[in-house]
Amino acid sequence: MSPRLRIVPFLALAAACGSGAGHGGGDDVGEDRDAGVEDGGGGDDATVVDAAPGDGGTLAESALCGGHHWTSPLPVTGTALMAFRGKAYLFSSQGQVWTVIEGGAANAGPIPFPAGVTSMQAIGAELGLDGLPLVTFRSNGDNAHQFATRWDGTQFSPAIETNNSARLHADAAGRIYGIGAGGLFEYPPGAAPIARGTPPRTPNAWTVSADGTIHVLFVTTESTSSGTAFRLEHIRLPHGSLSWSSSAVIAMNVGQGFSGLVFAGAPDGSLHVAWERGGYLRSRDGETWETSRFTEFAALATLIDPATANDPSFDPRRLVGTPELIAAQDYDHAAITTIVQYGSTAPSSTYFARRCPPFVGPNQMQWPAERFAYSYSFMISAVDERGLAAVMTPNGVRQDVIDP
Amino acid sequence: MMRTTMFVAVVALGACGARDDGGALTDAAIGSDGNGSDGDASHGGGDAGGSGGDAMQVDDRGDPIDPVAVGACGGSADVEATLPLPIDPNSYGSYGDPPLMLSGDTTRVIYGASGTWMTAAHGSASTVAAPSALAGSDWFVAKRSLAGRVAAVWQNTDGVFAAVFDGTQLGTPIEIPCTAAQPYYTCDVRAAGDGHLWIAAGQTLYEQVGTTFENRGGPPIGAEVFDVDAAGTVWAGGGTLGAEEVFQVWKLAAGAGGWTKTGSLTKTMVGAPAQEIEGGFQIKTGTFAPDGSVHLWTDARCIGTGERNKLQLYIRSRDGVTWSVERLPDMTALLEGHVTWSIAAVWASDYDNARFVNMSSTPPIQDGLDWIYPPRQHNLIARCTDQNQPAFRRIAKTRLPGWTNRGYARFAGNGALTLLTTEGLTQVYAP
Repeated sequence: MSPRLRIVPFLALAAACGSGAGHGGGDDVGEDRDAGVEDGGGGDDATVVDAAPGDGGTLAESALCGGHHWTSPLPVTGTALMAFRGKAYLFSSQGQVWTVIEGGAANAGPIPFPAGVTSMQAIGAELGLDGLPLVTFRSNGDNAHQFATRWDGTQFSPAIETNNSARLHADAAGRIYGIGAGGLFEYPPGAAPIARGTPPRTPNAWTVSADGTIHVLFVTTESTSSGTAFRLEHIRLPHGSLSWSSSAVIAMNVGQGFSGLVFAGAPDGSLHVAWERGGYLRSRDGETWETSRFTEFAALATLIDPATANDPSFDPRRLVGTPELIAAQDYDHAAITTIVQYGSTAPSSTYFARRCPPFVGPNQMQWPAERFAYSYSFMISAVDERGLAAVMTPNGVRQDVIDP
Repeated sequence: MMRTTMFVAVVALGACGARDDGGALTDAAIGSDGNGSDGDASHGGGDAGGSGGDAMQVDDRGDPIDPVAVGACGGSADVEATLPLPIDPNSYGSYGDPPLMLSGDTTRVIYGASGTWMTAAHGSASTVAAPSALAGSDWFVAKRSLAGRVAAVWQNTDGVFAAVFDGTQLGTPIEIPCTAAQPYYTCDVRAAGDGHLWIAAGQTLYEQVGTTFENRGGPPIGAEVFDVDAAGTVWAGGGTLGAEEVFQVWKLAAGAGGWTKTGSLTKTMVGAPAQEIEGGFQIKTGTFAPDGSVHLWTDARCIGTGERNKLQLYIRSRDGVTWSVERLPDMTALLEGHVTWSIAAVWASDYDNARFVNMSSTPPIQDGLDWIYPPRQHNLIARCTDQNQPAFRRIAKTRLPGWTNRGYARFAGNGALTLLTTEGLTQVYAP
């Protein structure tokens, strides 16, 4: 068997807001609401969502911007991380064991496989919008088949086979969607898969929103006198429909493009997009998008793993890098993980940026961030339903925990 | 009635080389005209242009090949006199489509520049004013759906439009969400039983809803065969080279929110014959039939300079689940020493009745560094029952003048064949 590299773009690191302080107003608990219902507030209040309707999920209050600290690194290694209810699960490459990390302690043990499964490799894990982790895997070295299962904190659900090589997401009702071989498939819980055809445009990134609407982002280009103009376009397919919307341009630039595009929904129905060079968009409904940035490249990241650089242009406090994961608890609470590899010129880094006011930087746009040491790994981070993250560093796994 | 017209053969120099003659099904695009699928019988140079030498026109010294009915299983074809046309088939590009609209026994040739069309049936023709919507069109293609309805799509300076043709009149044009010009497969159209249109723009399907179109995305498989039946069900078939499932069949029922896979043809089902095909197994073209059956043909192609593969397969299925694999007869024997160059069009009315047109010639002759290519011909071949045994019989042949000239073959829904070459328009009616 040969484990496959899978980098799951959703990394949630819960870290200190800036230097560990809570953000203004961020610890307020908002109204209780069902998943998929918009957060009507325009501020930065934390929200409470029903993360898992009918499936035992918990009410998740975002802790992204509250007081917190990072645990010391635990010297454990693996190829994939999953975060759920304050625990981090580190899968081994062999597909037989994992290490469960909680409160600064690590316990290795056998993976409690779904029924009929004897190994889980090539793990991909992200939090579904129903509040439960969605795990994709291959088994027994068989790269021709991919499976999915859900973790409820105690056990995995029976595995289902999905279309091969598909990236999967789950909506607030627990419906799983995959775009891969054969196009878009929907896997309703306990029902036969639905082949929903292929998106009219090849996705550069895609996700599902809480109500089951499929959202596809693609990049188009046009030559202009100023250089190549890049357009980030959005189309969507409502749940139960086979009518794709017309495309809407949601961002443009000249010369830079949209590399490192990451895209995620939140349980409140909001959508979040990020790309290299600090680009960030959010939308409550997929129609109206707010454009901002998550970095001004200001040297403000907190050094969780200390680092120095002789060349100031590679100051490790500067928040840079390619987005690897975006995770959002609601419209106002999102976190972006980036990685940057410098080789010998500067220490490579992982950054965890959280959308927690007050923002900083010359234009007061940059998100507070923390910096970690980075070395090539499979899936370096994961974020749980409250925004608490785990990150794998060369020294081991750190967890973000709420301050007492 | 059988009429013949004399032709002058053309010899060209070239080589059976690297150039394919229209692409295998797997890399062709959506293209099927209801119960028939058409291809470019002989795009420029056909298979010429390979490594063996330069293709070139030479003098007309080949033997004439008349359009002639050569017998069928229990019937004979009626090959009409060739009608001269004021258009040049060479102008339609390598994968273009001729401006033909076939309905029953009648073929219409659309002359967009003059705003007229020629109506031809059983060897007689007249040219009159075309519907005003077609005036000024610079390309035109029409396809018949499984529902039996003919829909046309054309482009003029205002955009790309489509309309249903009822055999006499063209319906109200509607602008379609497809801006690509020729070749036809980038902008294909089918009419459902109720007359509403489906558009295939590349691999994206659009369904007419009122006066607009909704984007339905693409089928789960790259659709090489696409059609719409009387119930409004969209059918798509295609495969992936190298995959175990070499051809999958999917359908989208009217109003459904998802596609259903009805079945697939696998390598295992094809079995040993696939291994025997010189140059390997490769599906060339196919079509759905109104009874729901699926019909596929493997290709004829160059397997080396001056060499053609001999074994071709015809594969059919009633339901997409169970498949029957048949070997086409040795074309060298069936076609009096000819080798085959490509399949130009296919047609099936039901599981048991299928026809195809291939292009053939006597083998090319090496002349030093060059290759001499003999005149080609179109052969209409029918699958039929002969003495209670399945058989393939050539029921008509016509000359395809010149090696570098283009020729097109198109089937109407009733199986009537129209051949468009630089010589003109020839209609073939077979029982």
